[in-house]
Amino acid sequence: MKEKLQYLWSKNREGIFGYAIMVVVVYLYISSQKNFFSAYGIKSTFDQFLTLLFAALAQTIVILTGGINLSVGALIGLTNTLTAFAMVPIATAIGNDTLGMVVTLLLVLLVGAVAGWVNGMIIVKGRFQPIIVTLATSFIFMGIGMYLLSAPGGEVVKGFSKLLTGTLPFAKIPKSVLWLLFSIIIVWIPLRRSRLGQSIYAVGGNEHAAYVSGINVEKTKIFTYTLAGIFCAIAGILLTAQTGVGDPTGSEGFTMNSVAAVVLGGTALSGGRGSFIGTIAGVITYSLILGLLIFWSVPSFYQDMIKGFILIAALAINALQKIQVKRKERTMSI
Amino acid sequence: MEKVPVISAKNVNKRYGGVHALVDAQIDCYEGEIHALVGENGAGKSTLIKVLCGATIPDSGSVFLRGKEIKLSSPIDAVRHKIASVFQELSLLPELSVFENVFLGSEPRTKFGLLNLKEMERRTRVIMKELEFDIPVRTLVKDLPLAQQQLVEIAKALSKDPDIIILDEATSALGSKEVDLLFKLMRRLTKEENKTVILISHKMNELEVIADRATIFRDARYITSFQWGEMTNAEIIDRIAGRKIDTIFPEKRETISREIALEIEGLNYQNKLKNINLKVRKGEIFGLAGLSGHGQAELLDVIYGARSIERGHLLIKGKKVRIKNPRNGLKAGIALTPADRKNDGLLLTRTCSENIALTTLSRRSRMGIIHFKEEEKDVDKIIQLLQIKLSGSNQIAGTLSGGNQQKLVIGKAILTNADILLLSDPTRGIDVGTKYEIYQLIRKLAEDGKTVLLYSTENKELLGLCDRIAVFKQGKVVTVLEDKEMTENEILKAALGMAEEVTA
Repeated sequence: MKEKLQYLWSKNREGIFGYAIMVVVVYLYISSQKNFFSAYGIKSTFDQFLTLLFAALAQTIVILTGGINLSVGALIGLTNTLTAFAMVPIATAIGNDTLGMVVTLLLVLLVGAVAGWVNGMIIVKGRFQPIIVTLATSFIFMGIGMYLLSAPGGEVVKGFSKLLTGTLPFAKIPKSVLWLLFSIIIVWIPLRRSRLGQSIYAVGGNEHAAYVSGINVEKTKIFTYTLAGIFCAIAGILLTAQTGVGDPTGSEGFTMNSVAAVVLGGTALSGGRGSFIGTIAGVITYSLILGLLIFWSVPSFYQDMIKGFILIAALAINALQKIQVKRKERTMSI
Repeated sequence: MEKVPVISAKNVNKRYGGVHALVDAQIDCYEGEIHALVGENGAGKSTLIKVLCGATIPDSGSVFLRGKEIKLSSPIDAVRHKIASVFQELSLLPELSVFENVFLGSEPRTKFGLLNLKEMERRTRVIMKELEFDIPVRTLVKDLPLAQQQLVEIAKALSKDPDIIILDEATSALGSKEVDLLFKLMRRLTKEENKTVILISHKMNELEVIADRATIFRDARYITSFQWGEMTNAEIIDRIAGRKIDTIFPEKRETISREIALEIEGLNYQNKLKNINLKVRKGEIFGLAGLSGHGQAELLDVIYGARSIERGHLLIKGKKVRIKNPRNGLKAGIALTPADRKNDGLLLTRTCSENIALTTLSRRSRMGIIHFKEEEKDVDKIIQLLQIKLSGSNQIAGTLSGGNQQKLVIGKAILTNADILLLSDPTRGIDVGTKYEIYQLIRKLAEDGKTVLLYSTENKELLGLCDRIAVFKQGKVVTVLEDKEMTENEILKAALGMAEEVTA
């Protein structure tokens, strides 16, 4: 038992700092917002971070392979736009709102997957740096979104927003909690325990070692970017459910915020180290800080600065952990 | 009837840019034998092995398995043909546990397609027990000492139940106990289970014990194969080097100046160095001996400033100096060649000239601008002096062979014009021919008035090269040996803390 706990600890110790900050922030948030436990308070708070959660999931798996995905925001914008643009026409053509909605969502998920696959193919087959490739495709994705809707607009079928957001009818549990559980239990844990998950860590940890061990490095990367595309599409769909409209340029912030959440969660930008479990803490912290700052009526130009300082602090803690490990390695190798 | 080799290669050619790594190379290995590949660094052994395990695709040539030609286009193919390999550079993932590493790329899965962690763990325990490796399987690899990491690497290769096992300098990080264990294992695999082991090692004394047959490579070409014992060591070395080496060590000098170049007084560092007092003379090659990990490497680091002194001080030419970091050390005329050349010694992705010139950047730049002309001249001089084999000074350091990389590291140190050179295991993983060149070079530097502190894991090297030898045990200098006292026996006696009964 003790050995098992030690093992779990050694696998997840990077995320601990993210959770420490999260506890502090959650405490401050609850104590300063008296109506937090009202149905509305919980709903709006949770809905806020849901989009970022899936954006950060997409970012986490890419960063774990040692890459980075700068097209997260643009792809969320595109899928958000596509959902708002296509849902009503498709539903009308089919003549059934529910069926139209399902078809639209499948289409959007497919578009996300294809967009991610394109990222992966260009990176792997062209042997280019992920940072440049995803920066380039982000402009393309945004351009396509703007072609569909030149200004924020579009609409969704009745009941779509209610279906995905809000609280469960028979309890006060926000649906976003279900989405959180979905991302952990249905997505992350099986992924972590699949051969693909293991390969993601291996490729990010030491690409050469992974190759020599017989792992298909190219396939792993393409899969990872494709999956990231699907997660971005989920984020785009959830965003549409919250806002009810499509906005091709309004999601840019998710790119950097997702990187920030991943870093705050203890995942190493060099790849191979970290976990989505840590990222969750990063996402919650990041979203709540924003709410907190608004509540304290901190001027908006300070808000971004404070986010920046927190990020630097997270990086510093991350670096400190690394130095400790290095020292240990050095003393051992001598 | 002639025996069919279990694995063989014919007419293998491989070029990297303008450099030939293999020219018409060949090898035949039979069932149940331990086959050694010997040759200088850069002779093509590693490239050939990489071809045999699918990590490198040759320009031309073929590989045969039991007489049938096979295509190896990736390591996955090699695993399918039951060929497993262990490389000098570890291919483990530090962030994964031992059992995850052992099964990386061939994980057993549950009926839902997920990794079967329990099964992986159980089977790893079984393998470790079979191999008699005492390694905790749940620990992350980064939390293990280097020697155990190497054993994990070996366990990983053997877990695939291979018929052919390739070991590329797999013993370089192992202690003698682990080496014995590994040799026992290799004998069992070949003699009882009829498997084949192909082995690269530069340690002749190890090969004498373990090898059945050997193939010699030189300058990317196959030279000969022979049954071990058919040739004397001297003959083998001649074939490897392609020239006659009468005595491998250069002659020592009769007298050394009385002038003290470096004095160490009451030096302490953590619990690794305890009250070290040494006086080293100008032009002397001073050896640091003892079992590995008893403070020798730390002493060099402390003198250079890579670790800071806790108590005690250093005197250079009688003057007290304070050295807190490598910049101070360089300024005081001290240069260090680190043992771990890949991590601490070189920028593997940069060119040779950039590497050589790195330590003297501040000297050769005026107001932050580097004078490249001057740099080029100095770099060429060093390349000439050390006879580094490269296609040009702009070759990327990482593409050089190990021996030439090591020369580059030494070149870096020489270029600083330091009076005191600290050499940490400068011939680790280097072939006999290049070793010889490096010995000559060290002796020449001493004759030119440099003071050399040499730490080596090979006692023979220290005995052949040094004027005096200090033996370390648990962070203390047990004794300083001179002249006739300098024998392997005396070193071992002091290092093991034993009295007269040592007869090794």
